[in-house]
Amino acid sequence: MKQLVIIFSIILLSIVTFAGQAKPIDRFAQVVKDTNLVKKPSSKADKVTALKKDQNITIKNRQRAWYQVITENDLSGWIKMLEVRFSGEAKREGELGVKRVWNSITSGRTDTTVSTGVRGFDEEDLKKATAAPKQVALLASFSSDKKQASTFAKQASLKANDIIVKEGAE
Amino acid sequence: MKNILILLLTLVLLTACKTTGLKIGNLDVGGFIEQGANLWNASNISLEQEVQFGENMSAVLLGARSLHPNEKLNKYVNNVGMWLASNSSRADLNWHFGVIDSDAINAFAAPGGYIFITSGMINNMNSEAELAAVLAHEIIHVIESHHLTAIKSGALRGSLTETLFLSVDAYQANTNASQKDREYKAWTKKITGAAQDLYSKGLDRDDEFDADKYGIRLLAKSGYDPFAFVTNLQILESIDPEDSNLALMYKTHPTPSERLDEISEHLAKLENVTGLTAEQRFQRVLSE
Repeated sequence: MKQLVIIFSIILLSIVTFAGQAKPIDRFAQVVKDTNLVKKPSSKADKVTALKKDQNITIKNRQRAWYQVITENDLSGWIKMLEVRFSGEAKREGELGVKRVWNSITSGRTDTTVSTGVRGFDEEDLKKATAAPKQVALLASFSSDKKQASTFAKQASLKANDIIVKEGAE
Repeated sequence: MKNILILLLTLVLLTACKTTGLKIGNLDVGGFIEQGANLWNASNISLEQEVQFGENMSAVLLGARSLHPNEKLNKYVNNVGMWLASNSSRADLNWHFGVIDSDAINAFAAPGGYIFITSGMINNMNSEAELAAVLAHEIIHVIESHHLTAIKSGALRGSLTETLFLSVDAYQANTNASQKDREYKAWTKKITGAAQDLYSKGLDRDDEFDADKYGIRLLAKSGYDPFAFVTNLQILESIDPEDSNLALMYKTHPTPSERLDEISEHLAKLENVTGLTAEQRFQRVLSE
């Protein structure tokens, strides 16, 4: 019985731990202009070091408009998100995206659910298209409504607030 | 000059009517033609006509590439989209959201509440807030009637015909039985031509910047982390612009760098807004 309780506790603990973890971003990037690395995600925070334009950094996390980064010299701090540019991921037609491989390594997530290997979508595809009313009917079968959407929002603790989207329009 | 344009449009509409053998249908095409001049003002297009226009454009988009077969993913995207839409000024519209099965990175909107995102674009995201950011941008296009504005613009004026606002059934109901096949082809040719114009020429650049500006606020209003909008654009910016999957989006949108520059001035007001990324729910749906 005691063993069962211990096993159960371990399982429960691992679920709780997993649920509480946010997946780190860990993304390579460059600084877009000379700026300061600061101790906290605030303009008033103390400086850690000066960063030069095009300097390489690794993004570890984000808090509002700030990224937490590590420099190549292992200095850690915060930088405004608009002061960085993510490193490029070259991908040509027919190639498996670097990001997809990267995702499966870092998160254990494979993209099989979302990709069925269908081609692109360009002007030629639009030219050749024939209207597909049956697809529109299928689309309608997936619809949600305000009530369902409200329940869905609550499930993730999403709450609407009083931000005005467009002055004079609401 | 304006009068000449109005006269020309009326003539075009009347000619189109004659050549297709259309009579006054259950959507009152006759009334439409009488109001031909007013077509230039989007506010004079009824809700029914707007929705039909959107449905027709959606039929062409989905004719080019089908919906993704993952029903759960489509329903999830509908819930995210509907939650955003229910916080917008057009909450009562009959909104439809769909995932298009394509490796391309793009999203589309059509009048009347039709929104599409490609599975290729979802593949490049990490959280529900990033997905919501794209849907919010597209929702603003619908709310602000940007497509109706585009179809009235100089470049797309040739696509503006009454056919856009008629369902294939309404179109066929007003033709002789023997002509049905021919008329279906005429209908599909016209709506495909308009969809091709709309989605390959794109919307006005300022309308794209507006969709970003108000989209980020709709995201924040709905309780999502507004800065996911920025991350999204930064992810797009990091993909090689020569990547063929980006071709159509790059042709029809300002570059992500231009959009980031433009959006920066609107971020100050949102600096202290807290919101959620709902990253875990997104990862869970995608890994199922």
